[in-house]
Order: sequence, then structure tokens, then C-alpha cells
Amino acid sequence: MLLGDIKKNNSKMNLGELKLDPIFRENSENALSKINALPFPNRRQEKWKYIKLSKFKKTKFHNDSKFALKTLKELNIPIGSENLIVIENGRLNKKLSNFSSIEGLELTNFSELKSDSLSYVNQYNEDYDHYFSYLNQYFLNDGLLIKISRNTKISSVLKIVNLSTSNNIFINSRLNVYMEEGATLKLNQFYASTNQFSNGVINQICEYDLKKSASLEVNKFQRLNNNNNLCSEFVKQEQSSSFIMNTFSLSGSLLRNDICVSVNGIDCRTELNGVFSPSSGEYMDQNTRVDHVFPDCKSYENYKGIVKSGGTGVFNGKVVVHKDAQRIEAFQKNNNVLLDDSAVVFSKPELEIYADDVKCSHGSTTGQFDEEALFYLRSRGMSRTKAIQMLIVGFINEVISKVEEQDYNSFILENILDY
Amino acid sequence: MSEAILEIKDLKCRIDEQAILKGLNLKVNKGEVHAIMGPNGSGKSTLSSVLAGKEDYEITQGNIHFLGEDIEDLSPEERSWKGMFLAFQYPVEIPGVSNINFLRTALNEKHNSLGLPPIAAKEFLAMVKEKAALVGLSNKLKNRSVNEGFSGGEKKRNEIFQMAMLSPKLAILDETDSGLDIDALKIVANGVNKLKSSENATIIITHYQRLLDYIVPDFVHVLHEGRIVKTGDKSLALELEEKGYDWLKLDLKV
Repeated sequence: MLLGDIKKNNSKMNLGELKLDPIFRENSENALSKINALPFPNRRQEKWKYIKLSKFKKTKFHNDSKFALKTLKELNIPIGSENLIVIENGRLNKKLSNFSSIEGLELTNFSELKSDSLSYVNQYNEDYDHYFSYLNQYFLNDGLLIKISRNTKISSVLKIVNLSTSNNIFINSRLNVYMEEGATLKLNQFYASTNQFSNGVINQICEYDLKKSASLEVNKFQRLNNNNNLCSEFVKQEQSSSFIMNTFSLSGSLLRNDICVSVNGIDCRTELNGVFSPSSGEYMDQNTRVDHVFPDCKSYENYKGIVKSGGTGVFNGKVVVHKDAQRIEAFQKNNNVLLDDSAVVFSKPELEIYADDVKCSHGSTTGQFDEEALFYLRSRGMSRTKAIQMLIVGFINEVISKVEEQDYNSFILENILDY
Repeated sequence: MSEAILEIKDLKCRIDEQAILKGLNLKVNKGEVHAIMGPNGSGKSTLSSVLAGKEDYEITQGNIHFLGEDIEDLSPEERSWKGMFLAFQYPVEIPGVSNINFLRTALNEKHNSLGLPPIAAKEFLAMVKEKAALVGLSNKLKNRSVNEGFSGGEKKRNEIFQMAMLSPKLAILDETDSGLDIDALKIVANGVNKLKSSENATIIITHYQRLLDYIVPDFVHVLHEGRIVKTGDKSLALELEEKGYDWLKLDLKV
């Protein structure tokens, strides 16, 4: 299949062997007409301005979701072995997963969804849909619905590993997390591959639905080597809920994250943090949008870019404070360090305010490490490389310290400092 | 075996085409304390930067021997491993890096260069405790980010604490007295005195005589327009304090 030419090559390989509910088939037909009406994303479009996607248009992809990974050890990620769900090439790999039931947590494959649960999926805001989310709807492999029941605090950390383990595979998967009133969950999402595979794409839509007073924390780690990841994440928050997402873009030919948060209730807290460190030839594009529709909410954004020789990073963050959403506190920050002259970063923090009693700020800085600081460290016996590593650690510390697990801290640093 | 730790011969150097040092000679032997004084712009801080290996400066003539080796081609870190230490006039703040982690890395880099295994955690912590006591550095500061939010005095104490941890052969104190009140000055000076031995040497760069009341120098040199124009004992510093640098300029007819 060629992504830029779906109509002509309409191979119907999408729904394949999976018996998804007719509602998905309906969506699929709907998505196809949208795909055919839209141009393939290109640099003339504001949304895709900084990223080179033409290679996606030319690659011949397949969506044959066979399993290939023998053991998770090959991934070299400190994921542990419990509360672990492995989605390989878009399908649940039961053999590699290790999940015993947790009270209050309901986990269902889309292919096993009963009709009464269908209302939990496909609720996301169509305003933010784009070409790839339509492709996701059209080619959907499978999805996972996680439901946390009312007032349940899940004390163990749930881990989901999304794998791309085939060359030129185009994976379309979905994750829905539905948090009932007062529910609490911490979720660590990994997007991974090994050096054995290249040119795969994980095209995923995640929906995070937070009811009143629910609390969800998501740590997202993207380490895809020579593969790609397109993530569209739709978050809906009701009154007094708290949503935290920390994104660590560590490696991948092209990583694109679109996080859209609709804050639809008073007294909510939203926190989006991230570190991205593209190396030579890699593109890492971070897009966030937070809509404050109700008053008395707080949102914080802090993204740090460490762009290595030949890498390209993008931060495009938008906060919209709607009319009557008074007493909002919204702070947005993006700081970037370019490690040499061939590193590139585009930073576009945006703020749209239609209310008159708010406290908002946004800021962006891009620069290089201070030579005086490097000299100071070197005069204490650190090599130039070690000194730069130390400054990197200092630079991203306020974001990585948000991840409590020490193992993950080291995992992030190993991947960022290796250049 | 030579007793010289540092030997500078006819050193000329420049930055951005501007000559700063114009033929400087200096010899520092084991166990000695040298004070270098001089008016603003005489080249004092340039000298300390050149010794520590800052790459902005270009040596156009002469040479620097440290422990018998010409160090012109050595990087700042290589000089540090050999035992050179510069206490900065303006210590740099490194947000997000804890003082302790910074020192452990510095020590381990040194160990690594000497082919030694990394320092054991227990041994390291014992050393930190001992050396911090030397300059009265509080526990709080040890775990904070390097120099971030430190007062002027705390930064200078931290410099001497680092010096104690790295036990250099040659310590260069660049205006360590600036920004210190009398009590802090005494503490810092006391720390430096305790670190002195017959095997190492100290160069104190200062504007004022005050610090030399507490760290007594064997030699006092006056730097003027990139050259040492007068050398004496500690009484020279007192004389300078009394008469000012203009006296010297008249005296030397420079």
C-alpha cells in the first residue's frame, strides 16, 4: 500500500482477519472519504511545516502483523515483568505480556468489545483529526480499552509496550483509557523496536477520558531506532481531574506527537512535559494544544530539546483560554540546546486568550551550552564530552526528575547521552 | 630532582589580536606561596586562565612548564589530572547538577586518567565530610546544584572545598577574597593554610593585601602591563597597600 495513494490502491487489507464491530467498519468507510478529500501532508501546510514526510508517501508499506520478537530482553528497556502488556505490530502479544487481573481495572481488546462498551471509544474531538488519524481509522489493526472503575486507585504501574518488529510495516493501533469518577492510574507507555528492523511506522491514536476527580499520569518513552511513530493523543478532562503526561523522545527516524487536551470542567490540573533529543537525520516534532473552556484551572508545559549534530526538533505548543474561562493559570516553556551548527530546532509557543482575568505566560529559548561553564567543568578534570553530558543532565533534570523510577531515569540518560 | 612545580619563561599571549601578557617570568617551587598583585587590567586573570588552559588565549612566545612538562598542548582536563587547580573568581552556576554528583564525577575522571578504579561510595562520602568541615560548608550546600543560588561567600568556600577534594599540586586562587566578609575570609584562608604542604604550592592572585594577612606569602610579585615588574617578600604587599599602585609606576618610571 502507498499512503499517498489509498484510493487507487484500495486493497481492503485493513480489517483483515479481525472481527471488529460494524461501527469500526462504518468509521473506516467514513475515514476513507476524508483521506481521499485531503492532500497528503506536506510542508505547505502549517501543521506539517517543519517535517519531511515525502518518504512516507513513497514507501511501500504492508500491514501484516506477525509476531517476530522472541524475548523482551532484546529491547534492552527496563520494563520489569509485571503488569505488562505487549502490543506487537498492532496486536496483543499474549506470550510476551504478563498481566494478572487487577481489581477495578478492566482491559478489553477492541475485537472483543461488547456493544455496550462501544460508547467508550471514538469519542475524540474531530476538530483535531488529520490525515494520519484517518489512516488509523481506515486501517485499524486493533485497539485496547482500559477502564478504571469509580474511586479505584490502581497502585501498581501499568506498562504497555508498543512494538514495531517488521520492516516497512504500517501499524494502526488504538488505546482508550477511560477513568471513571475518582479513579487513579499511572501508565508507562513504551514505543520500541530493535536495530534489526527499520522503516516501520506505529500510527496510534490514544484517547484519555478523565471523569470528575480522576487522576492519570502517563510517562511515554519513544525509542524506535530507525522506525517511526505518529501519536495522536486526545485528552478530555472533567471537573477537578488531573492529567500529567511526560514524553521522552529518545530515538526514531521521525517522531510526531500531537497532544490535544480539552479541559471541560473547573478546578483541573494539566501538566505536559517532555524531552526530545534528535540525532543525525532524526525528526522529532512535539505538538500540544490545551483548550481551557472552564474557569479556575491550571496548566503547565515544559519541553526541553537537546538537538544533536544533524538532528531536527520541533516544538509547537498552543494554549487557548476560551471566553469566560477566568482565573486560568497557564504556563508554557520550551528551552532548547543545539549541540552544534548542523542541529536545527523550530519553536513556536502560542497563546490565545479570550478571557480577561488570567495568569498566562509562554517562553522559548534556544542556544548553546555556555563555554565558561564547560571550561569550569573541564578545569575540574572532566573531558569535554563528560562536561557536555553533565550540562545536558543539568538541563533536563527538572523534567526527568518527574519520573520516579530510577531505572527509567538511567534509561533516558543512557539514550540521550549516547551520541 | 627539580623542586619547581611551575616555571613560566618569557610568556607572551594574546586574545583577539590584543597582547595581554608581554614576557612574563615566574618560578614556583614546592612548598611556596606566591602572591601576584597588580592594578586592574594588568593581566592577573589572564595569567590564571592561561595556566588552567582556557582556549581563548593564544600563546605567541615562551613556555609554561608544570611539573617539568611543557603544558601548552594540554587540555584543561589534562592539566587538572596532573594536579593544577584554579579557584575561579566567578564560580559558574550549573543548575540541575548536584554539588556531590559533580565532585564524584570529577574525582572519577581523575582516577580514570590515572588508571585507578572509581572511588568507593563510602570512601567518597567520608572524604566529603572531612573536606567540607575544613571550610565549614553546610550539608545543605553539598546537595544543592553547583553554585546555584549560593551567596558570594558560599561560592568561594565551595571552590576551596573542591580544591580540598582534588588535592592539587598547584592551586591558583583567582581573587578568592573578592566578595568575602572578614569572617568568611578567615575561614577560606584557614582552609587554604590547612591544605598547604611541602609537596604543593599556591599562587594567590589579588588586588588587596588583606587576604595576605591570613595566608602569608613567601613572595609577592607585582604584575603591570603583562609583566612582573617587582618581586619582594610580604612587606611589598604592605607597602603597596599603603602607597597604591601609582607609587610603583612612578618608582619604576613606567
